[in-house]
Amino acid sequence: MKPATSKPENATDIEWFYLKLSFVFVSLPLTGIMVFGGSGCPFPTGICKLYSFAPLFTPIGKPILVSVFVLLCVFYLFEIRMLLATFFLFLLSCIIISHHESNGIFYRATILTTLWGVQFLAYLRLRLNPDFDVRHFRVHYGIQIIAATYALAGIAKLRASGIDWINAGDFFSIQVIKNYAYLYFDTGSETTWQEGKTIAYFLLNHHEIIRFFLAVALMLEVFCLAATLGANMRYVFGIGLLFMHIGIAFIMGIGISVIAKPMIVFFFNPLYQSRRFIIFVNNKIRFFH
Amino acid sequence: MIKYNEQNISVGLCYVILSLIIGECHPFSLVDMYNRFPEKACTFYLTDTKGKLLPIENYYHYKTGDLTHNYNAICKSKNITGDNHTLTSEQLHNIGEIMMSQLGQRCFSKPLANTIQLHQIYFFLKNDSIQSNDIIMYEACNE
Repeated sequence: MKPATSKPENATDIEWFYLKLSFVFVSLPLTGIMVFGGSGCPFPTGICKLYSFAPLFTPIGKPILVSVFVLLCVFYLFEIRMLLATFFLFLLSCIIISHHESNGIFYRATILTTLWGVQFLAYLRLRLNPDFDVRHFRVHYGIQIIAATYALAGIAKLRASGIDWINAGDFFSIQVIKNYAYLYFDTGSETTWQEGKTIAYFLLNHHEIIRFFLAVALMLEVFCLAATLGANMRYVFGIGLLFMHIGIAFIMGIGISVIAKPMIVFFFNPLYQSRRFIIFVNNKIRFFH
Repeated sequence: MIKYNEQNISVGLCYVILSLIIGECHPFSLVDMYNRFPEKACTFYLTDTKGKLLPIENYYHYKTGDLTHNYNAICKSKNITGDNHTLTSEQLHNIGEIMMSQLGQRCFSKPLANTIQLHQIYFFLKNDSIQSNDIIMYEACNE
């Protein structure tokens, strides 16, 4: 198996480059926000229980940390020293997110670290075994870890509430009103607050709608590991999860979860698909001329 | 064509198993958001002494959801459980003081109020309608 090179030589490498570009687009801004959003380490969690990494988060340390992260992303994009790049991206992401959560704030961005981690794993396996199919597994490991995260969400619901989770009924409306209250207290928007109350009271009087959507969401999550079994399953689950996130964002007023963006990148690679579409249209136009 | 074998799922399965064993310790996570729907839900907001809402995003690099997470983290660090019915005024006051201190570190524009009040509000169901219970946890002078 020919090892991965730094220049796109075939469709797979081009596809991979667009996936990496999309993932950097998704992860870099959020990582930057978490670097500058934290202050101190009042509630140590994760790796910060061992060491606070305070020097990295000083007024001087923060810009240096972000600069190093950006530099590593450039290495990653251009397939330079991938083993080291993905390792240090994984390590820095672990530190940054742990430090941010140690402030008592939870963006639920664990998926970013694990995605760096499995890509490091793929290149490590290539280093240990030159015949390892890194072109396939550097993407597929990402799909697996995303599917695993959704599966964990489904398992958590079954462990806490059993199948009765889908019969949330009235208490679901409490969560809806709470989330729209968040938006109202953040922005002062009366319109948003009234919208939230309307949705909450509508759901209070239509338990069957809640039951249906919760059942679909639970099935998508619990069986998500099936998305690793091929492109068709991946698209089915991807579309289902996308609609789930849109539904959650609208009904519960909590926006699109952090995991949705890497899911879209690894399940669909939309930037690459857009490029293919543009090339297709260009070819058609040239043909008719 | 890639053959379906144990490699297609092994990394994902390993992560699931390790997360279930290790629990909530980054980069492992139980992903337990909304795993249950409790009878009550609480959140926090700021007002001046006349009760006028001070939208958090107008003054702080922070969101109401972050305040709620912060409250839970403080309660956990102090081994405190309960809500504004079971916590004492002193406990709520102490928690509120810590919350306002941490919020102050993220201030980019001072609210135009001499005193800022931190409220805790609980939503619950009663008589087929959604009710709320609101208390002032802490008052901070806006210096």
